[in-house]
Amino acid sequence: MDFAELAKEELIFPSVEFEDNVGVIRFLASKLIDEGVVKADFADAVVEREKGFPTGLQVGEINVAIPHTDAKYVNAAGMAVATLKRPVNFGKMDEPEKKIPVHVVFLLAVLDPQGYIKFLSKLARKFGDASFMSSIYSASTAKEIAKILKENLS
Amino acid sequence: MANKKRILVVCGTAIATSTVVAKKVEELLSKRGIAVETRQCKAAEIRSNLDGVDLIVATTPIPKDINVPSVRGLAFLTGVGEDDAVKEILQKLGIEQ
Repeated sequence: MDFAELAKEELIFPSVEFEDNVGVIRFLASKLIDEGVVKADFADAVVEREKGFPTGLQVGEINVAIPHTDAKYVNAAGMAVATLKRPVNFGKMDEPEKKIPVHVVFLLAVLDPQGYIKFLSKLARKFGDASFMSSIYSASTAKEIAKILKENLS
Repeated sequence: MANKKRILVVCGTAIATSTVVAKKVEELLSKRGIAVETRQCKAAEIRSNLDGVDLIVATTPIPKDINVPSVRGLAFLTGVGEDDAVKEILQKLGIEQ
């Protein structure tokens, strides 16, 4: 599978605003549910998982979160992305009680971890790349973001 | 002759992140000529997976009373601080660097 295909314009939302991480997660999840990528209970499962095992990654000036949940809630591999006008707090993956302001959220629908591995490793490595993160964050259209993702992740 | 080192890779729901981290750890250690076997589990399942484990690499916090040495594994996901994390693994496995 060409994972660069996962960067779909219709599932990328630049400069959106939410009060809290649950808001962003539910918004992105609803988009994946609408597309049939995930099952109806995916949103609740991701929110629950985030409570116990948060997914915030402190990687630099622009932080990222990768909320996701078990494959049983997923129909097909997919991803929805949001860049946040105002950063929203997420717990740190390795220190759950610590909250960090997150600017970019990748909601991941993982069906088969082995198949997804290449894509996810490439994506995760990019989180440490400050110029990649700032170009994603400063992009104003879904088209631009999709392009940056495809260029960097194929 | 060295035995294979058994590393338990732990994350929140044993899918996305532990799979990436396990692969990376295997790759980085085998580059250094160290044979490694990884197993993955969810944080909630740690206690039942400790048999024969030499080291835990975890992307989430693990209980403090676990007797096996552990290393924080996020560096293998994002690449940030990876070299230091590898050194820590070698040190905790008792391997000369």
